[in-house]
Amino acid sequence: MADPVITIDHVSKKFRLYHERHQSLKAAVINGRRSRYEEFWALEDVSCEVFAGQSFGIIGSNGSGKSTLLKCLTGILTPDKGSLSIRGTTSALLELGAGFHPELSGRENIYLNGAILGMGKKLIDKRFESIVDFSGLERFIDQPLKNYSSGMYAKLGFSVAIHAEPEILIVDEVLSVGDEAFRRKSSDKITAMRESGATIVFVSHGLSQVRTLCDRVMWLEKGVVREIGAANDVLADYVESATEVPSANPHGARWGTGEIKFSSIEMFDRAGHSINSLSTGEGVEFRLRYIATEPIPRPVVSFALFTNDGFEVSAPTTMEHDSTPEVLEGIGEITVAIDQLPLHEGTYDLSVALHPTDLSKPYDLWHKPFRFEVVSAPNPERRGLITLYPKWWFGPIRTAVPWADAESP
Amino acid sequence: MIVLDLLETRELLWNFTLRELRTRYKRSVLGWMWSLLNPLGIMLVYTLVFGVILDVQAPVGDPSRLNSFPLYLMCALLPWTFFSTSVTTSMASLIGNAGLVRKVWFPREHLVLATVGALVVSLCIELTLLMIAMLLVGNMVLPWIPGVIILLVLLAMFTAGIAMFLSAANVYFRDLTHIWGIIVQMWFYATPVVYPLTLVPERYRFLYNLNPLTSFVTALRDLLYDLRMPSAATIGYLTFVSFTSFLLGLVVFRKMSRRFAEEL
Repeated sequence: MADPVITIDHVSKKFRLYHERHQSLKAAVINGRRSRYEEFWALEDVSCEVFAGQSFGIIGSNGSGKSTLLKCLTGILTPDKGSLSIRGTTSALLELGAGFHPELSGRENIYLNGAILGMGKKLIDKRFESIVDFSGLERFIDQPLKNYSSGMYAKLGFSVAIHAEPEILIVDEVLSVGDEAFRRKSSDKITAMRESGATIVFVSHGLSQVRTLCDRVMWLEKGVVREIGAANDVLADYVESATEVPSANPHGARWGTGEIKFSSIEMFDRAGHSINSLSTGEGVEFRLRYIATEPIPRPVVSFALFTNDGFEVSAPTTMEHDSTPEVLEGIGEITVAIDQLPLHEGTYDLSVALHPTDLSKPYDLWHKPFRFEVVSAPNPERRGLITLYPKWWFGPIRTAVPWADAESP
Repeated sequence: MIVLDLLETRELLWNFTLRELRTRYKRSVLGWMWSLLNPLGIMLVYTLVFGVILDVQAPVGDPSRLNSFPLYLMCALLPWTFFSTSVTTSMASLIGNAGLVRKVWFPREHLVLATVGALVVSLCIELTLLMIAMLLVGNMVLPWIPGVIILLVLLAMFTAGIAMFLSAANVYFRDLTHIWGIIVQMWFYATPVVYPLTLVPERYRFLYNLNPLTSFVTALRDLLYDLRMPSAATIGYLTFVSFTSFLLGLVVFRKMSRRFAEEL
């Protein structure tokens, strides 16, 4: 492989935590010349390399040093030890609309913000139309920025930043600006940049974003590199370690009034074997056993499926399916049968719940007690979360045929 | 080397300067008129207090034969006001742009240089009006314009150097803003703005001349009021002081600016 475009070589950064901050003469005289502070290493001995065209993700909990590392990369902070080198033009989506001035018009601010991001006037002239077009703010472009809503402000900022068209793009969770349509346009644009060979460094809490966007991932923990490697491996380990931590949520992993409780959860294939993994498209039955201390009239049973980074795939209840039982008592088993599980390859968690009909306090709400694997069937779809089992037809144009009457040839 | 860096990012400097200029008088009715009304107001006050009440006599121009306290005053007041305002505004602008400094990287000195740059524009307008006034009273200043321009460049460099040094130090030590408020008062009276240098006792003259602002105002008076070349010693001294101030200010600023994002 060619030389890396980003080299982070044993970088450490320390911050000072001041006890009594004295930026004033009086305090300086009273306490002697030095402020009292503790040193705190936000980054310790971090090394990694990013190669041209890679999408490199950085994950870690809050305070793990992700943002500090990005700020070191962009030059905002200077590391105390080690060195960083970047080859190529860089644009950082850390702060949208940096330097925007409310009294200036959108047009003037595009030039100002562009210059801060390192674009020359000629370059902005050339891309001006496209910037305005992308932002969708043509009508307001000569208005002063103070008349913009915060969403418009962010859209304009994003449009300028994305048009810097850098060789290396540094993104810090700003993909979620504007409305849904703008968000989609933004993430399409980043995907397009990636496909055209730009290098991307991406920091996010949203693991599914990291998963779709990144091929390599670095996991930071308390300023130290915990793991660097292929995105799937690192993300899997990260999720595992995150789930090991006992939940501090007062509602806990399981709570409820307890008149009826689940006692076990199992998964079976069509042949009736207890299983822990299956392929996409196979049939499956979840069997939930319960114990009721008293007869429970019309309990609402529900379950929810989550990807291992916490995205809720589906959460059906017996209410929507008119399947709520009249009464449950004693011990018994609830079976949920799924003919064809459409989930793609991955690890999934199952939550189950029993609620009274009015959906007030649950009898039993059990959060993610059961985990299973889906392995891919032969020749799987590559992207997305589920398959729709699409069928394809090819033939003449059927303009006159209304939907309902359309029949496959 | 360090000056070459500045050239590479000059577009940003230009944009910051434009931002200063465009926003300075936004939403005020008289707008740019203020940059003229302000010096005129001060001129009126000082002429009344020093020229009339205290009866300070402006020397007769040599060889111009001009004798006018207000014009004599303005030759010194304009560069002085430029200097003091630049430094004060620069110190505030670095603190005021803390959000920007914490979030984006760009050469930080541009914030200071843009502040000074925008005030250079004001000074140019003011000096032009002063020269028109000089012409109206019969002082032929036109041949001396190149000298004024060179002097202006040196003054801008000197001012930028001091402004960079003090605004960077101010990030770490905020009392400097207030200390500067006192210093600027003392410095004003230590500079022959409202009185001629000839009123200063001979034995203090040497000390007086060490003050670069004394040399700046004297040189500008030589050019515009007296219509003569400033002395070679003055020009040499100003060149030395300006380059030293600018380079030293820039080096110190660059060194201190590394931790701005944490300290602001």
